[in-house]
Amino acid sequence: MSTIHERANSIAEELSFLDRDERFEWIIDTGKALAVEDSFTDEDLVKGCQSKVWLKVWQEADMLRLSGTSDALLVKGIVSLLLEIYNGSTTSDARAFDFIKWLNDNQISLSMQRMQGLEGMLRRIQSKA
Amino acid sequence: MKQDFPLFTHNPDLVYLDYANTAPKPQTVIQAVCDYYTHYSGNVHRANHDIGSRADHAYETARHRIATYFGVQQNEVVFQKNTTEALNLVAQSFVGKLIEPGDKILLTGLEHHANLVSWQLLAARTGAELVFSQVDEDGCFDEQHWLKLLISGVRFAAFTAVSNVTGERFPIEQMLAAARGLGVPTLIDGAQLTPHERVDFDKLGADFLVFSGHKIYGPTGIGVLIGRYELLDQMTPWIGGGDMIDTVHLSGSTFQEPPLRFEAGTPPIASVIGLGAAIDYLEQHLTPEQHELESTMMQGVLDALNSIEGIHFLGDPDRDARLASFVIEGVHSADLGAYLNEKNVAVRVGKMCAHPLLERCGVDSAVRASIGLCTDQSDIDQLATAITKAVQRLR
Ligand SMILES: Cc1ncc(COP(=O)(O)O)c(C=O)c1O
Repeated sequence: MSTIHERANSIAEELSFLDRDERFEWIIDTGKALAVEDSFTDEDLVKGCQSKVWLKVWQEADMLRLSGTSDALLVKGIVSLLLEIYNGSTTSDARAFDFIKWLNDNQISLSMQRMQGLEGMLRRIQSKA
Repeated sequence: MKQDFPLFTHNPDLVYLDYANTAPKPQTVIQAVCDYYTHYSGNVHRANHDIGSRADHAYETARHRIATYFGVQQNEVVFQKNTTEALNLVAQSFVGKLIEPGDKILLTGLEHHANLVSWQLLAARTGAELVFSQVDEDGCFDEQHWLKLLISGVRFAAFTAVSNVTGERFPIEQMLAAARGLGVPTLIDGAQLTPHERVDFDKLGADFLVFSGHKIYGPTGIGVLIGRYELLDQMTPWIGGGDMIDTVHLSGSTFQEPPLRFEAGTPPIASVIGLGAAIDYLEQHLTPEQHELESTMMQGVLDALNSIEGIHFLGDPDRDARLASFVIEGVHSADLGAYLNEKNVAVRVGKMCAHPLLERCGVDSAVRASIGLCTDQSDIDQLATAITKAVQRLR
């Protein structure tokens, strides 16, 4: 199993070949590619998001498990990144990982409203980690 | 026109279609604000030196210009922070005084939250009842229903002149005449009217008119309440402090005459002076030719949007509106807004401070494109290209 940092670094490497415009397009593609197998209820909705975001977070054998989606494509792209990075990480790694800094380091800029929504998602992850 | 606006010089690629949210500022407005801070930044109404007198003079000159532009007396122009604050002042200080529990206040189903929540607060405090004219299936104002409610007996009527969501201009002249005939005092929310139409307050026949400086190419932090003087004079202030008093004793105080009665404390002097410059700019540029040009531009916006398959408008858009809100099947409004932003096209996304209306239209969030003085053909062309691409990509 890879660690949270290995997974984050491997995505960052993929992104490093892309310019700003391409990163934006990449998020759209990532959103489109997210396969949603789970089903969600209103309980899974994350508050404070402009678009609807469903996120489930649970622990399995001391590892964090996530599933989620959104009705908006760009947000779905962000959710997809969250899932890819956090899924399978140890709880202590998840607690220590700074996703917002990672986004900034990789020049993925979000509007203020998106940021607020994202903070809700991260709070949910932290509360289960 | 764009060359008058530093925003466009500094952002040459910007396609700004969010005028209804806030308008860009011409150089003359920026210069007026800057001049005050650079040359005569004294306080007003308490000057015993030249710098203060100059500030005072510029401040009251701005009030005079605004009064002349709207065809009212200088003492009928009250400075407030914005439309919202001006509305709350009328609600609390005028309507609050005449209302009895169970009295009705007439609103419409298309109001901005500013012209809704201020009345909800008053209703909670006084036991007044709010009644709303309905919105028809097309998202339009229902004049017949409004008249019916008016005739049924209301103490006050407040309505927007132009919806910030659908762009519809209400038949305010007829509405005001009907209200006057029944002796019902009225307030017009002019936030979306004043950027596009010069208003003659007396001819219009309303009792109060409110609007925001920042939407008419002026600074933020300044809005205006225009009210008939006899009514302003009946109102008690709801914010107390310096500048608004006549005599003060520990046992009580008497108040200044309007408008100073409602301008407690040091006002946003620079913004008032900037607003005076914005009024000059409007006076020069809100011509019949400009009106026709804006209608042509709006037609262009609508043509661009109508070419998109699966587009649905909120309300019933037409070339005489200055904005259009819409949703596109299979594309989330937030995605569309973000995509357009990537292509330098600035539009509004969301519920537009009108949750009840969006709910009525059955949508969660919408996109709004709004035009203004500087909108030109290149803006329209870029909107058309960007939105076509956006829909292809996001569906
Ligand atoms: C119709 C209408 N009324 C009131 C307001 C509130 O204006 P402000 O935020 O400047 O107080 C707006 C602003 O969007 C508006 O469109």
